[in-house]
Amino acid sequence: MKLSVAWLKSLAPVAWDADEIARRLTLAGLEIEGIERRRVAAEGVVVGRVLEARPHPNADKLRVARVDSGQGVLEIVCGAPNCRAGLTVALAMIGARLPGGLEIKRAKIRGEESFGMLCSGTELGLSSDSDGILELDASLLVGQSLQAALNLDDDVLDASPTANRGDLLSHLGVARELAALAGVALQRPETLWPTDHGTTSAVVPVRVSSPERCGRYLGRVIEGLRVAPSPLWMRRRLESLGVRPINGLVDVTNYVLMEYGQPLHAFDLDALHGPSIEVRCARPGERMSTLDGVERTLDVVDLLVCDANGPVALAGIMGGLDSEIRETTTRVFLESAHFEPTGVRATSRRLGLRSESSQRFERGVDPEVTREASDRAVRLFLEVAGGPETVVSSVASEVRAPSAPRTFVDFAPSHTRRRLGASIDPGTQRVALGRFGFEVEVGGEASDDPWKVGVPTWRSDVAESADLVEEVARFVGFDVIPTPPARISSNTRVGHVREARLRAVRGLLLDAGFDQALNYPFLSAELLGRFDTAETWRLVNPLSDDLRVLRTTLIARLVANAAHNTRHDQADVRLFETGRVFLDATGQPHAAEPREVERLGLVLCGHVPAHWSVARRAVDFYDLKGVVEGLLQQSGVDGVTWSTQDLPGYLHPGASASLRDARGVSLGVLGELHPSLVRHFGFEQAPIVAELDLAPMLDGEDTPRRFVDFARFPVVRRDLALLVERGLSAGRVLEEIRAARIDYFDDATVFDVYEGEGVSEGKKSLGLTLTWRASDRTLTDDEVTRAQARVVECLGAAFGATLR
Amino acid sequence: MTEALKGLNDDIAAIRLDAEAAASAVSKRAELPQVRAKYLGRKGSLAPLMQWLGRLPAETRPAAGALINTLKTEVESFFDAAEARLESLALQSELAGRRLDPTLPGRRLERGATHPIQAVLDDLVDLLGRLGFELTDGPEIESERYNFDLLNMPESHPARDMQDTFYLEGGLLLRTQTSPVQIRTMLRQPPPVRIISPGKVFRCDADTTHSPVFHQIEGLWIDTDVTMADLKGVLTAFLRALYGDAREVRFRPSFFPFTEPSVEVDVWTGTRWMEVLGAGMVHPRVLRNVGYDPDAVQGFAFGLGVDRLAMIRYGITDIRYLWENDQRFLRQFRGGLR
Repeated sequence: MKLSVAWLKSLAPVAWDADEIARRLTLAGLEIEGIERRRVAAEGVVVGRVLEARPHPNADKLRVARVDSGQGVLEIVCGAPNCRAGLTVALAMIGARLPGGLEIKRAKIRGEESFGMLCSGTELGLSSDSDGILELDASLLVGQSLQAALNLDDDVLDASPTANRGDLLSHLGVARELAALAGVALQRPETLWPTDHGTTSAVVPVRVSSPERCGRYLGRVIEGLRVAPSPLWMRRRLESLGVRPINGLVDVTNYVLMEYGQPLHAFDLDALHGPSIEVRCARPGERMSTLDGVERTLDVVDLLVCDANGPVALAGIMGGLDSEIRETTTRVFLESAHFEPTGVRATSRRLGLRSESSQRFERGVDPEVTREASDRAVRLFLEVAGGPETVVSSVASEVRAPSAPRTFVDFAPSHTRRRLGASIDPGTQRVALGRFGFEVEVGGEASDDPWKVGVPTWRSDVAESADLVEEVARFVGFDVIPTPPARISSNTRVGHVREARLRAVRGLLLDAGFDQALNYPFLSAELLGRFDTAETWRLVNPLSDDLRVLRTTLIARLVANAAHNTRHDQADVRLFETGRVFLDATGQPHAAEPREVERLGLVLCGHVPAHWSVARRAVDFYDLKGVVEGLLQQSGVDGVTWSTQDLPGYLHPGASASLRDARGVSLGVLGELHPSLVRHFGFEQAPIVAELDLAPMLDGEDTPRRFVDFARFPVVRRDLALLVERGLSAGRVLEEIRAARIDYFDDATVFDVYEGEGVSEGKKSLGLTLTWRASDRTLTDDEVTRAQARVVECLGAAFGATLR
Repeated sequence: MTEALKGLNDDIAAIRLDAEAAASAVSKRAELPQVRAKYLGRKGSLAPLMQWLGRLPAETRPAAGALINTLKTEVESFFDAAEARLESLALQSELAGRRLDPTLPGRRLERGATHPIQAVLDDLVDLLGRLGFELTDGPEIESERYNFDLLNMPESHPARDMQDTFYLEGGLLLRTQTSPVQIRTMLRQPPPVRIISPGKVFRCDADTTHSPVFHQIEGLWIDTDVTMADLKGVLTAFLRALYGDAREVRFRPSFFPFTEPSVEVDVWTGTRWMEVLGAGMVHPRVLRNVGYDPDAVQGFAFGLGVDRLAMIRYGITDIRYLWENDQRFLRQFRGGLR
């Protein structure tokens, strides 16, 4: 919100400059984010008076004016239609520089000499109206510099009031805060209007059918008004606050809004039917056109202001198109009302319609300010658009619920010490609360003695003792609270153990050359559907279709990331992501609770890092398998089995595996991306992906390590080449060897797999290295040969394997 | 006797000279044993002397034997020296023959990059862990009750507007803040509580400076005697550890529905105050909501956005880079992140 410093200082006469005001307000809880210095840059421009304006002899649209500059009379050629004798004008003398950079020189225009220029508001950067030259107040002293005469320099604060402080959405409210901080008296705006104005007995009857939604409604009739631009000072003030001046009547309602924070609405009385007013909820299917020209379908919870024919305003939000102030308006019905916040908020949200008015009602307007604001508006109407014929209704139409009883909060000065850890003497606390408008009934002198603190009507946010502690704290400043050394505690660090394991997982992946990726957990149904056809949790209000469903797998986004990198000359991709997937959706709300599972996703594509010494090689299944094996080993997950069962649809069914731990619990999957996805994303070669549950790696019990003595006698190593069926997995062969429990067996590993020339069709050659040992001696050749023979024998029996 | 020894001396001198010349003339290691044998072998130059010695009378034999032995030792040393010389030559030529290029790259896997947001999160968790805050966690899909109601943000509360919420079918939502973890923790355990909870949060107000997903870390300390002074003490220690010991830290009043008083904390950058975190004394209503007695226990909570911190720390200019997973971006964070 924008705040005029000049305006604030007229209400709270503090000696502080704009910077100090900004600092004080910020430290008291109203953050000022910036200060805009608004200066009138009009050197050499003075107040002048037109003595005579005659037609230009050679141009129909020009005039030649004789203008009193205070230092002599000048002849000036002027094109403005409103240039006339008697007008007080802004006169740019020869040599003057205007804000746009224009330098005024002596000129000859269509044969007539011109010794200066009469300026419009736009040319001076004062206002945005450009119909003709500026018409200044006739009481200004001719010859005085314009800057001094208009006193238009100002500083505008950019303030961010917090959501609880509706009272700070007005100059009066902020001035009240400033006055409290500075200890000066608040100067309320002038609200009395001259008694010589006539009155009218015209009364518009008002009925409030939803009193719980509208606690105050005050209506007044003002007749005999003239619609004209508001005076320069008012236009300039509104403009500097970002409000576009429209005409005197509308400007006044906006001005009072900015001043009091009380939304007002001026209806063209001649456009109201009845004329009578009812405040009621909308009827089913009812429609109205608001001021912004939009026709809106209403809901039965929307509160309306209606005339005899139907809705004329969305209560507290926006007026209707049909009864708005026009150029021809002379009779006005002025509404000053108080609408309940939640209703305004609900309608405003539902219609997506926010206005200066709705924002204030939502945050809470002081219910006791309706009449004062109405008075102030009438006074300004008379000043801006009034004349001798203007009359004001002698009796306002007013409907008001009794004022709510004042809220009292139980408080004791000791509360401050307990909560803040600072000692602030009770006297200071009392001053603080009093200055902010609280009524303090002191129960005694001791700091534990109970106080009763009455909350002012504009502070609906204050309800209990803790709120008052804050009032005291922000009055004295948070610097008064000491800053002791941090009290440090030691604790069990359960969470930190898990964190350490997670970091170890990430560390291993970083060591393996993977970069950490981070993706939104939501994505398009289309993308996710290519990877997983399971039901998903869906957002009701996604930002876009691309961000609609919650992921059930990390792989979809990671593959898309890989595709992005591949498209941008980064063909070698190694990415990992840790994050949650959201499972157990049924498509039926309330049928199940979402289950969040922490996963690790990996994607690997392109080539193994190039080196000049070796031939370039594309990555494959076993590259990623190696990483995953390392990960599982490091995390203490033992006895992992790899099978080709239970594969998700996004993997190549013949080049992938699922993993289970020793107890058969699923750990995840690893494999080549399915060829149809490879084609869809346009990869030249299939990325290898893996998705693992993190819980088995993070949550397992730590098994304490025990040292096992190793064999001191040398092992004997023998190779064996076997012919087996092509489809037989190496894992099964090794398993069979281990299961045979042959004496002196130590270990068996695969060193070669070969198919092709020399090996018959349908077979493959499996090269195994077997190691043998005894714990008490070195084995003899004979013993090892016999043991090897048993291996061949048992594999022959199990798989029909033969020696190659 | 002297005659015999005199003749021997002459022979020895001749053999020594001859052997020394022969040994130093050898240029190939393979020829060395052959030349050596010419002197020291069974048929070598020294062999007749030994035979001659055997024929000497017993009284002159020791003196002659000593002379011959000395000669033998000397001749051996000539050939040992020759061997050493040849070995050193061979080594030199071996060394000269090998010239690798140390500027060619080594064989290694380049270490991957920690995501900048993760790097900042890790730092924050470490710092706050050292200050005694236990790490906790909670779900990303939340209910209105935990995300809003129990945090003193009832349906009608204007603060609920501050946080545009993603809803799921059935009324659940994506948490808009990490604060529901506080609620869950307090509902689960009696005071004292001293926790931090980092994680993803979600708000549907994305533009060029906001992402619909971002990260927060939140802290909570409830005990019998935790005051606003403790809040200042702990957060000042934390922020100085994060931004530098000399940094000025400013606390100013603000508003959050779940704290009272609420503060925003600024750090002086040298040219301006930069807002870095929000905090406050936990609102008595929140304590009552979780079954704590606000007259018996109190404490503070704080929270900060991680993504913005990462952007400032690394000078990242566009928030979209954080989520694009372009390796041209990520790889800049390989190696040390400081």
